[in-house]
Amino acid sequence: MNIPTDRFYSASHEWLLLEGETGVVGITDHAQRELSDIVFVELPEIGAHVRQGEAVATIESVKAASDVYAPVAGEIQEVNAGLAQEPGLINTDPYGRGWLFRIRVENRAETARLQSPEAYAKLTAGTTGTSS
Amino acid sequence: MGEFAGWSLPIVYTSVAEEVSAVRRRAGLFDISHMGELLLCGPDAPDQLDRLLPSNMTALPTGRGRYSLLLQEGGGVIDDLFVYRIEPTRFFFVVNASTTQTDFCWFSAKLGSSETTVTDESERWGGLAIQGPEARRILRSILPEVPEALERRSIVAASWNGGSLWVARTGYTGEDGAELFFPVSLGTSLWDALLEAGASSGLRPCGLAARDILRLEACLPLNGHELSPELTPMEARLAWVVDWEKGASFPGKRALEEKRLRETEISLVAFAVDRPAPPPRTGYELLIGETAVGKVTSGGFSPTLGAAIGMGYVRSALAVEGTRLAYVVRGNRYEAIVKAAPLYRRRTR
Repeated sequence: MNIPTDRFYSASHEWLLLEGETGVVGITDHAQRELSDIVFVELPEIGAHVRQGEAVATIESVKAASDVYAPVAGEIQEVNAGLAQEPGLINTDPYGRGWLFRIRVENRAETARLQSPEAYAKLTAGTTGTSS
Repeated sequence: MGEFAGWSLPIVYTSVAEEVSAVRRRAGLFDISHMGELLLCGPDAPDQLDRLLPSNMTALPTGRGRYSLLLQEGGGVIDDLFVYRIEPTRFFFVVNASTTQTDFCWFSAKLGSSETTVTDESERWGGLAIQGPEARRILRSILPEVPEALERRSIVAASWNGGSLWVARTGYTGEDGAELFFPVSLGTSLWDALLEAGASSGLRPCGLAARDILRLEACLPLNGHELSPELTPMEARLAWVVDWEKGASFPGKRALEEKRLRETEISLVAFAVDRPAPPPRTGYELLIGETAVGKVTSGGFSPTLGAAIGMGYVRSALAVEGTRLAYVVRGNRYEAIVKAAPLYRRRTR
């Protein structure tokens, strides 16, 4: 399982990569595998203010629609517009070109409630291969 | 893996888009062992079938198959099936997994004390489908006795590993190819041999999710979605299945003849969405303005067309190409345009 060590993870399978005052958010490799082919993404409004744990985006795969939760509170600064035409980027490059949105992080202390790469690796260990 | 009608089935091997693309461009291999198989035989089998099914079964030549329907007296669809005449008085049926028992009981009851009997072979028979432009070439490389000129909907016997199997030039993908039916003990070796023989031609194992999208692109109906006891072949645009001229009466004939004289209230349509949209899912309402005019029966994202597509029932007056329907997902409205069916048609070569 691919889990980059430069970011935080949530139990609901989002990642947060801090870059100064802001953070980039996406879903994990584990999550994209569970969802399988992603065919549509609904992203938050730029300027929207979201709380930690709030459902802010929806990903539709061939299987079902799934919510994406904000890993931290803040203001949405930018969304990945490329996903409208190419939602499959989340499958092929979940930690890179498949990013979802950029958020201005309100309170860095909230990252304490997220998981380290090691903890997230434990969380998802042994669960691969069960997707259907 | 996933559960369906008591079977554990492969849903996706790698990615639905890749599997669909393999079938459209090269070839795909499907395990369809969940499908039900019934055998009907007896000296008067053709005549019995003529009074049970809406198709003309006495006219079906030996070695050929035909798509048909099991109908209620009211014309409602119990199941759709493929009927092959494998011997003059012996017919092989391929039916849906979830309705196998229903179909078997229906035939048993209708045949009563007739000399023709039906048996449920589903536990003993497995099935594979190999579909795509390369499919028949790959198949013939391991089963050379399958004729190159096997006609569409024809069925022939072939041998494999000391056993015998049936090979039919049929499928459920809108692509050329074949379906194989065999005693379950042959399944694993056939699967492995086909995958190996097709490896250099781009043959890939494909799951049920790809199969569902492929049949949706080809606008082939699925029982429980486009077909149900509440609807007749007239709404489902399957009136072509019915032989109105044949002598024998069959369940549903009178009801369908009455329906034939007037326009149905609703009709099945295919539609596509021309901008990025969430896939229309079964049960979504189809709207004109704020008025619900129908419902989605199947929907998904078509990798071949690069668009969200679906089928559904709408008021018959709206079942014309170009009608702009809409559906709403999480408060956003998406326009679905009625298209000519099938949405995908393979190039004939």
